[in-house]
Amino acid sequence: MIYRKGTLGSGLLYVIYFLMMALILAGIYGGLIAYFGKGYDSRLSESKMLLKETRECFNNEKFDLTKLNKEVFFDKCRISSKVIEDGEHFIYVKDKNGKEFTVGVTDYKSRCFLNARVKNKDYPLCMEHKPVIGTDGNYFLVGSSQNSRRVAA
Amino acid sequence: MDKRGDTSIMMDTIMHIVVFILFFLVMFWFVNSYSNGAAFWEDFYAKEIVRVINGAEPGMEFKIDVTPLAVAAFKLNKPIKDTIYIDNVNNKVVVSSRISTGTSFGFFNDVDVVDWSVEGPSGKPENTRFIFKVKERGRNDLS
Repeated sequence: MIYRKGTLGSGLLYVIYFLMMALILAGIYGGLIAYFGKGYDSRLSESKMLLKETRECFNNEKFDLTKLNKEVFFDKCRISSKVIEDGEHFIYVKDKNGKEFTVGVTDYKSRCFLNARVKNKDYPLCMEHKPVIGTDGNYFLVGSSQNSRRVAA
Repeated sequence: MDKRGDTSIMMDTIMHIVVFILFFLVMFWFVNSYSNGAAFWEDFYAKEIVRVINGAEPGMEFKIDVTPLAVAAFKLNKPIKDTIYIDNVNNKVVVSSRISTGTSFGFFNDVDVVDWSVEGPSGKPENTRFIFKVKERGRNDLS
């Protein structure tokens, strides 16, 4: 190996060169995000709408949670099983006797309450409805973590 | 030791220039994808159209102004009539203002979206509207 004067300095210049490029790229990326924003987050509005549809359906159909199955729920409530069971949605209902009905990602029952859910778009944003104490109403917890996907078009 | 006329100095310079050109090409491509807001408007309209469909009842008809999306598509030479597509089989709305790529978002309302079209009054992107009707989907008789 041939050791030459200034080799170390020359190598350090490369580090600075790449560091400069990384800084320029980070600056441009930051500027674009600051100007255009991080995109439109529709998780909460979707959860609100899904909660409204689910509650209306349960009120109209008077489901018995001990007998209710997914197929009847999807058919009577006009909710698409393909979308709700795509791994990005969750519907949980509990009646006054403690009987439960769940469709979608069951783990969202806990993920709905994690602090990271607001900033991290992979977590669901959820809406819940608690019945008035002493009435026969059901408890509802509905969540969505759906984000838009890039596809070939 | 470096000598006068040594090729390593020239190679170093050429490498620097090549890396710099590559860097700026990547940057140009990246900024260009944002420049007219194509990605932003695709995402926005996919979600807004889904929101409308989710809240719709069978029999309803909608006309949504999609001018910003059409303007972005027009600048990128994408035919305006091909900017929005409804996939009733998978319950998806696909919005695309760029050639070969787009954004999709799913609607949970189990309805069929029919007679959909993207229409501009004069072939120009201004005042472009997305028109569609919502129809009840044929269903099994479960009790």
